[in-house]
This record gives sequence, C-alpha cells and structure tokens, in this order.
Amino acid sequence: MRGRLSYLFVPVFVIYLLVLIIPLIRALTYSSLSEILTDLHSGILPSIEYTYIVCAFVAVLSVMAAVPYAYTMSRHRSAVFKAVDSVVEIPIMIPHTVVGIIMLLTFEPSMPIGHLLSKYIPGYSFDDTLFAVIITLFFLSSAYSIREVGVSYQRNVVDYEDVAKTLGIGEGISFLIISMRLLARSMIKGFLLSWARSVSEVGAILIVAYYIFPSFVKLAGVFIYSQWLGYGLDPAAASSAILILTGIVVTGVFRIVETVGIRS
Amino acid sequence: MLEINNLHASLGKFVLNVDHYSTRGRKNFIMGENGAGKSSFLKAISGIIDSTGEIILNGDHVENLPPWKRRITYIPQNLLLFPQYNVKQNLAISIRYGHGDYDIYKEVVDLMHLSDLLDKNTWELSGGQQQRVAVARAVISKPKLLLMDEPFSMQDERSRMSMVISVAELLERYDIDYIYVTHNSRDLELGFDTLSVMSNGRIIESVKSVEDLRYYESVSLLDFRNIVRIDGKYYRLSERSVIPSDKGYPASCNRSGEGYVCSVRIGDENYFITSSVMADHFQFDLSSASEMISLGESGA
Repeated sequence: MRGRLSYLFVPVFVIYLLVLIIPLIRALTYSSLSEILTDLHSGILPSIEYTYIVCAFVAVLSVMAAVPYAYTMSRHRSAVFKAVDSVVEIPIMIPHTVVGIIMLLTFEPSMPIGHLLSKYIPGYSFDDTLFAVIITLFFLSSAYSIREVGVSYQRNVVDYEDVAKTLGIGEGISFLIISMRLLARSMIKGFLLSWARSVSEVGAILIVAYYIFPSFVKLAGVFIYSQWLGYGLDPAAASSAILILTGIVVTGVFRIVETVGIRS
Repeated sequence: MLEINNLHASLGKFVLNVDHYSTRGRKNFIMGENGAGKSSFLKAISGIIDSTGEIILNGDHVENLPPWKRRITYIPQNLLLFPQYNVKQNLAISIRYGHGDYDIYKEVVDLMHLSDLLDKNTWELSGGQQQRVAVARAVISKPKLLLMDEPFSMQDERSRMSMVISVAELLERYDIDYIYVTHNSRDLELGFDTLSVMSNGRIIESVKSVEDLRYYESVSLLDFRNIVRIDGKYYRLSERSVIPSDKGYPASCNRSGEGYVCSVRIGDENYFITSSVMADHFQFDLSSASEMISLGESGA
C-alpha cells in the first residue's frame, strides 16, 4: 500500500523529470532531419570532436589531481585543511564570465604570474590558446572529480587501505593495489562529471579563447553561440541537437564501461 | 608482550589517553561501553591513527614504525575483506606483498576449512565464512600481535562462541598473542589472561579475574543487575541487602526463573535488582552491600 507521501512526492518527481526532459526533446525535435544533416557540414562536428578531446584531457587532469587531493585530505583533519577544502567549491559558485576575467588577470603575460611564466616559456601567450582553455576548464570542473573521488576515498576506501597496511603491505603498494582499484568507479564517475562540466562551459571560454589559435577551432558551446549570433536560431538549434545526441551517446558509453568494468 | 605508556591520540573531540596498559599472556580482552575508545585504542596500537607515547612489543619500541612494519595486524568489526579480490587473493596478499608465509597459508586454509571457498568472491561468502577468511588472512600475515575489534559480533551466540574457540586454538598454534575487544561478557567464560576496561578513552583497570574488578563502570558491563546508585554512591547489592517492603523505592517485578527481576526507581533512574519475592517497593540495607568506586568519584 502506498503511503501518503507518495501522493505528494510522485507529482514532484514527475514534474522534475518533465522539466529535464521536455527541453531536451524540444531541442532534439525542433530541427528537421535534413536541417541536421545539412548542419553537419557547418563545422560543428570538428568543433565537437575537438571539444570532447580537450575536455577529456581536462577531466584526466582533474582525476589525477583528485586522487592525491583525497589522499591528503583524508589524513589531515585539522581546521586549516578543512578551510582549504572549502576552497574547492568556490569555482563552482563564481559566475563563469568572472572566471574568464580571473584567468586573464592571472595568466595574461602582462600580469605578474603570466609575466613569470613568459620568462621561462618561450613564446608564451595566454588568450586564445589551448593552455587558456585547459586551465580555465580545469579551474571550473576539477571540483566535481575531487568531490567524487574524495568522498569515495574517505567513506569507502581508506579503511581497506589501513587494514592492508597492518597486514604488512607497504604504504605505496597498499594504495596501488587496494585503494586505486577500489577507487576505479569513482574515478570514472569523476572523469565523466568533470568532462561533462567542461563540455558545457561557454561563458569563461568566450572571454579567454573565443577562437583557439592556431587552428581557429571554437569549442562547441562557443561555436553554437556564434551560430546563433551570426545566423539565428535554426542552425544553432540543429548544432545543439547534434551536440546533445553525441553527448547522450558518450555518457551512455561511459555508463556501460563503468558498469561492465566494475562487474568484471 | 605488549606494553603501552602514556599513549595519547586526538580524534576530533575525542581524546584517547592511556597512561599504562600491558598484556600478560596470550589472551587479552578489552571491554567498554560504546564510544569508550576501544577501536581507537586498537587503531593507535596498530599505527593506523597517529598517537604519541610508547608502544613496546616484545621488548621493541614500535611507536615510530609505520603500520606495515609493526607486525601488529588489525581485524575490524566489519572485517574489510578486499572486495576486488577473491578469497585466495585475500589470503595470499601478505605473502606477495608483506611478510606472509605460504606454509602457514596452506595449513590455515586446511584448519579453517577454506579450501572450497578459495575461488569465491568475498561478497559471495556468508558472515561466518567472511569471519574465518578475515582471521585466516591475519594469521597468514604472521603478526606478533593480533588485534580483533569484535569481528564476530554479528554472529548468533553459539556460532560466535564456536568461532572464538577455534580462533583461540589457531592463535595458540601459531604463537600469536591477541587483544580481543568484546561487548559480550560471555566471551570471558572462555578464559583470559588480562581483562581491561575502557571508559572515556582511558583504561580504567586491568585485572586477571572478573572478581578483581573494582569500578562501577567495569562491573556494570558484566552484569548491571543489583547495582544501584544512592546519594551519589554506587553499591553492589547482596541478597541480604534487598528488602521487599510496602514503602521505600517503587518497583515493578517480572518473574525470571526461580525469582523476580525488578525495576526499581531511585531518583530519576531505573535500576534492576533480583529478588526472591515480588514487591511494589524495596528498601536497601547498605551495610550489607559493597560500595563501588566510580570514575566520577576517583577522578580517574
């Protein structure tokens, strides 16, 4: 027998799903098939390919940062470390255009840190470079990996590692053969979250790298934004549909890999 | 033999502070209420959590050694068999990466009847099988001291006692001293060399026999009946000191075996006493009761 709460919660649940699904369906059905096929030649496909690859690289960096971060945080519980830990979420709350400005203020060659980098890196420049894209997306998306891996490590993994150590297994090996394998699932999830977050970024990228030199490729979000500005809603909608479809495919593949990988 | 002096560890608001603790002989038990610090104490001994103070194992200072060099193996209550490995891999992990012994592995697999389980995944095992694997894994790692944090508590009474006996025999065979944390006073019936009681992060007393326990906090762990607190002092009541009456402290009684177990209201608390007769009220002759020390009074 259903409780009374079901009558309250199920409608909210359904409304929530509709709010998510209706815009997606609208985006996928707005353009006709021929419009979508025509749009495939607009440059959106290379842009999506480039975006996915760059964002995958950023997501790998995020996971690589997340593991040592989680290890360090799980072993230091002082107020200082707790305060440091709260910094991780700050990029999420900053408006993305502001993130773009922050990146310019930090890494432009005319700024102190950028100036320092330019001293040691020949030909260093920042805006409209791949480096600008990567560092900006990393700033915005790493928190997702860090939280996913960190929570999993703290809640589910660190105790196994500690028990392994008392069995006489050294620190490094315990971490590798016990923790890393147990963290595989959360690393995949963290990768996917950071990747998805990076793919969805537009605001900060518009400021730091509208084009990415020397290829002049635009990230997919920027590409669609420029289509909308230059040609109106129809081509932008077709490109959006392509981006959403490919995104659904990639996410589905990751889900399968995650499930099959964990089972095996 | 393990000797600990001035062990101190801070875990958030909880402070572990053990002035002195030593084991005598093979079987060492630790009891204490929930939150007394028993698990933290074992973790500090094994090196899983940071602590200060001396930890001397068989004459060697190990306090500055990392956990993997102490030769002190810890079995937690939830056992923590490595889920990514099957039983065989769990058992053999210390042989490959630590100082485990293959001859012991072969013997222990046989002694603990694990040969049929070797290829199974850990999540396919029953609770009892998992416990056997956890103990076997620990023994194969050749520890000098084994710390068991209530690893058998999820079993029914008969299976648990049976497991405790087999483990004790196994540890005797391989000459491994152990510290066994338990909530269950029935475990003590199997015999022990030291029984220590923890409260608020401290070892309040260590004894060779339950008759030697002096603290209210210790005795009440074994049997909370016939202990009352009157005017701020704890008393252990004898049969003569319990006086059924039509006045005094109000009580309600239920039959238990030959006599009654009665809940007596003293101040704001209920206490349980045994009586041969049923009564609505009880009075107590404290001259024939024995007064107990409590942590609050001693400031220990």
